[in-house]
Amino acid sequence: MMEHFLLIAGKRVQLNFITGKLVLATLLFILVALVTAWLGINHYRARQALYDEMKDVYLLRLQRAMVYAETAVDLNRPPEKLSVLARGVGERYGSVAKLRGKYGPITIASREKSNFLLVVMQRLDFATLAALLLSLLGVFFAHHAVAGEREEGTLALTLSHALPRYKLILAEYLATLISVFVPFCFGWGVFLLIIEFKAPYLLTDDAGSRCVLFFLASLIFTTSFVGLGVLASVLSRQAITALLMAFLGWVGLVIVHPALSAWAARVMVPLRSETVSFSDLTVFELAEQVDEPALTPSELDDDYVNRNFEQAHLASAIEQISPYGSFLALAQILTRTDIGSVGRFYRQARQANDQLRIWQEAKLRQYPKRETFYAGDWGPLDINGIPQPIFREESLRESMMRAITPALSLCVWAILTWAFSLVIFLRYDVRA
Amino acid sequence: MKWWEVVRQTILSRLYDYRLVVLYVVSVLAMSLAAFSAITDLGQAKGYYEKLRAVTREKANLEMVAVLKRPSPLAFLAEGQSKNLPAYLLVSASFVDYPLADVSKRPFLASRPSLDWAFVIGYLFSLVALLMSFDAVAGERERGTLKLVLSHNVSRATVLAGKWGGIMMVLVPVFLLGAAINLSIIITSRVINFTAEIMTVIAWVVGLTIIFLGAHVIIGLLASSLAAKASTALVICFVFWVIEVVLVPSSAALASQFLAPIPDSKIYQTELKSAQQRYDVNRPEISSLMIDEILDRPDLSDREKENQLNELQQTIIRQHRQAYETLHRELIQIREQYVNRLIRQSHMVQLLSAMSPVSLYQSLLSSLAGTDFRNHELFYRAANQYRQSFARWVERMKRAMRSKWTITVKRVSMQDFDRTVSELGEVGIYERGYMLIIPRLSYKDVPIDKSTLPWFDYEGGSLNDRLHLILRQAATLMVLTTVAYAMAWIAFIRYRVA
Repeated sequence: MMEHFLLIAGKRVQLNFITGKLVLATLLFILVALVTAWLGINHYRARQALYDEMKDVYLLRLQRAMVYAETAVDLNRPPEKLSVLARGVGERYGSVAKLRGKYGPITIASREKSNFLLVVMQRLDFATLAALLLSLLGVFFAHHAVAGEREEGTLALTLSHALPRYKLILAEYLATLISVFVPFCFGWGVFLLIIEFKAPYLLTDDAGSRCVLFFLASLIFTTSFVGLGVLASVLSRQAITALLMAFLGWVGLVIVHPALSAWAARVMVPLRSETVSFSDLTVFELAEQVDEPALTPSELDDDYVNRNFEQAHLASAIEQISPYGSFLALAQILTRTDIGSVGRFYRQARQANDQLRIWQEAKLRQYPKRETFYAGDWGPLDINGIPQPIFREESLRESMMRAITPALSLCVWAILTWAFSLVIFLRYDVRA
Repeated sequence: MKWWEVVRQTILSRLYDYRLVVLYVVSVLAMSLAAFSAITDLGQAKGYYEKLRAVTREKANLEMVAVLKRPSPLAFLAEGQSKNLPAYLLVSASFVDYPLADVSKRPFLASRPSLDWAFVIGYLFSLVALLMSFDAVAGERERGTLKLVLSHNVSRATVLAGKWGGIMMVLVPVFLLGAAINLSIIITSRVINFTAEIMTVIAWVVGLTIIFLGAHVIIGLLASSLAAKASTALVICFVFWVIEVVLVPSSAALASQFLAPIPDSKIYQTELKSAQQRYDVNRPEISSLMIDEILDRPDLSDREKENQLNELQQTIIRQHRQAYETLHRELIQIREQYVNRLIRQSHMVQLLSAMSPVSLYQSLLSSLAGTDFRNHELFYRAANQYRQSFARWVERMKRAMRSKWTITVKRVSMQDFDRTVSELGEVGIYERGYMLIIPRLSYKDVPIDKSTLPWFDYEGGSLNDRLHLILRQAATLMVLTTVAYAMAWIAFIRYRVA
């Protein structure tokens, strides 16, 4: 019985190989890997260089401070190593927080080029492009499985053997999965190889295990879209109808659903700011900030920031209904570039700011006169024990805890599409 | 057999098809969702604009004033880049600058597409147009009816034109219905005053949309005439659609990073820093020794000493102003170079993505709606014109102040010196009863009377300007449609019917 199973699966893979689909898919994945790895590494290196240069700048500012009102420290978020894999919202929303304790609000600056014009550009990363390709190829390769076989008349012949229907559909399912996922493995391998040769430091620490988890996630993701294609196939009598249904499903999940979820989030949590954001910082002030991070700082408006996070979280939650959205969310959680990681940075900045305030108040009790006034012979400022915040990165365990929801959603899609297609196929009319 | 008969037959075959029902439901749903989304967006944009206006007035000073762009009432057609482009520009007497982005004020969802006509028609209707036409030739061949049709006394060109006309006659009413529902929802909400100009733009958009849909129907017919089986035609249509919707826009963004690169922000910052350092070096130093030197000369009377001190002060002020102006010039140059490269890159993106009909159509719509980058450039140009009147105003204000500020060196008390420095000084030295002051070079913090400030309110480019902008792209769309039609014609003439 097992022979039949392997025979059918092998036949389908062979067919995909002969028709050139496998080769084409492999080439596409390798191309994606080459381009995105190269771009990602360059992008990472640029930000790392800027981070190295700027991370201790605030110490200089502290040395020069003569009164406590001038004591400000920075919370620096190093660029994420795995942002080469998925960039997410990444660090565009701030990677340097300037903390002033009791002497003013926190300001956040970003190390990405912070100009309006540049927000227009789309971000290309391996995770997004691979997700597009995997889903598209998944539904495209799978649509033929049942309806196409029926049209060609081979389905009736296959079933005339002593072969249970569930095995047949399982074999088709597995074969399509292999035809899509093996090319992806080539692309993934090329991607990892480039990183290993060009920037081996990227895969140290727990990055390796994160990559393994990403790989597993993409397997489940592919399964769910192959399942969708097979479902379309068992729902229709002709291959062309199956293709139509499968592709419309793809358009709905990949193109329309993200736009709809963003729309729903915008309507449900409108972004209203009590204070308007107005930056009158011209190039002259920018040039004067010689010691500061080269970027535009802006003060945190808590109400606005909270709403912004709420809106983005809502959009992401709605997006995780679809397998495409869940997979991207999963990839971004694993690479620590999702909206949650930005929230983590903001939270830590607020905590560190509170610590700094407590320290400043303690010092002021000790030197009450030195808040804003300074006389020449008072000597240097006592800055012993000033909190020097370091960004605590999310551990693998924490990331995995957050990744449970999208992973579950992916699994549910994979199982449901498969279960439905099995049940429907059991009642499928194979007659010509 | 006439053209009209082919048209009628095509319409009837589409009317019996379940695709039409799906099309009606989807288009009505999508267009009404788009209307509601437009109403909320427009309301928010207006509120934000009003708040910004108040702040701008308050923050205006002699160095810089912000000029605002009114949110376009036509943003419901295409939001374009209006969420990403700045709502205001900074105008100083010598140049117009882009504001730097507030990082924590960016909406996280800014880069997501919004539901507007450009999205619904560009993405959904284009797909629908392909799906209505992919089986028109290959499907009929499979069913065997194509042979029967061609056995009549009818040319193949007529058959192709008839099929195109028939599909368009099904598709265009659906679009018109969706548009009518969308517009009536927006009209009843009273967010926008529908002026004659807005109606003209909408008429243009309807015309362009019909051309756009026509182009997609003809591409579907081309795919159909290239394939022997309807399923192959369907695959060709899908691949084409994915390429024009997903692949071309993202590869255009990618390619423009190579073709029109932008220097790293670090390099930009280094240039700014070194200009600032050069300024620090060029700035003349003043010290109490200089005053001492003059005051200690025994051969001069008190009056002559005062004259000499006055001369010294004038020289230093002149040198100081020169150094400051050099810095000013250099900084503006660096900034302009940087911004120009950003602009060049975004032009490149637009140019490259024009290869895809969907991107072309969407950029046409956002040009007409006044929300794209080229309209922003019109705004930039208008701001540059306004800059001249602002500069004249600044010059007038400064002249009035300078006459009040003319400082001659004389004996003053320490209190007088302190007061003068805090009022108008940048740097000052007090030595043996004489003060030497360099008046302030930046007038940013000088309190002013804003009632005479010429005010600038940008309404958006005129209809003529906007039509002028889209001319070339509209022509490209026409040429594309014609070429596709010619190709479909050739393919259909060579089509093997048997």
